[in-house]
Amino acid sequence: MPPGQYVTQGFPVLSAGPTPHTPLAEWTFSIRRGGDTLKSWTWEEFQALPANTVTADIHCVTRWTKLGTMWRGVSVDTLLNQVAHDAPYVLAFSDGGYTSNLPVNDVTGGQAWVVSGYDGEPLPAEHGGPARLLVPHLYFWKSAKWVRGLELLDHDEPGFWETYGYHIYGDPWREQRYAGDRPGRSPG
Amino acid sequence: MAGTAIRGRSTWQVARVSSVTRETDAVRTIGLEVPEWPGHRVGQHLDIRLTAEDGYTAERSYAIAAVDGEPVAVTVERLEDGEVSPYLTGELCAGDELERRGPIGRWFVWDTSDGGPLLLIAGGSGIVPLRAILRHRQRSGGDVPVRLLYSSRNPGRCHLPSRA
Repeated sequence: MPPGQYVTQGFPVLSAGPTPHTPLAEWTFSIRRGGDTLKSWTWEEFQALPANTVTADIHCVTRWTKLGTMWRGVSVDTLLNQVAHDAPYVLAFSDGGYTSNLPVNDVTGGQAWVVSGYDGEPLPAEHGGPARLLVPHLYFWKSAKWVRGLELLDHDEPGFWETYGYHIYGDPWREQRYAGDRPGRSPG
Repeated sequence: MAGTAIRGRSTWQVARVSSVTRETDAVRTIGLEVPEWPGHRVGQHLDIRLTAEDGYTAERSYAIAAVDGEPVAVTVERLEDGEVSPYLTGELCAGDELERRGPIGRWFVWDTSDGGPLLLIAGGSGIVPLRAILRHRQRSGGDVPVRLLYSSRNPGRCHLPSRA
């Protein structure tokens, strides 16, 4: 368990705004760079991509940890492999305007997924459905709900909570909750 | 000054308990003497850290009950099986010391310039930051329309007077 966390059996719902309900017929997932859309998938196309089942512990900065959560989705490796790029950072963007920033090295190498299934069922809207980012090794605010794409960036750009004083990287094992908390990355 | 602001937000500092006020059987408001308080906005919270004699630490977040300009205070409701709140609401006394950091949080806040109307909804101890918002609105003489919906499990846990 990361320091300062407690285990919950429930699945708390925390949102900074209303829950969007985008119809699947209008849903797309896009990879963008500098205003250009490099690649975009419709819901049907996205569902046809190879998917994995992922079991992971998730850690919310509000101090709850949920062990052994089971998700189904597409590896971000699968998505980024379909565009040529050398960007070091991404900004995940969501319906409703939410964003979260991540180094590319943290969303590749089998560390991040775009998931549309939870516990054997379609992902409920309150937990970020139809699809959310899943980056379980960072605090869960990084795992943007209602995600609609990734913007490739040359520089690290604070997302929603990072703009409001939360940590730019958010490693739970180093308790990087707020801006200025202990810098650095956990090894491996 | 920017460095000072960052340090104030992110580092732990000792605060002396100036008062413990009984709100209900299960609820206490804890006044804190905080040197170099940077000021805060209603809706923000503090992180509180307790350290046992054997070095074990526990941290929790509590909403700031005070309006900016008042002595810093947090309101804590006891959870019977809790690790921290039974101590804060049952054993803590004026003169004790604990560690805090904050104020923290810049999203769930309200100021008169944000306007309204406001619909505030809380259950249990979730009322604490909303009471601060209500008092801030009242003190600043604002006429922003506001409606509060509040639910508590029983009278002993109700943070508001029964005829508030």
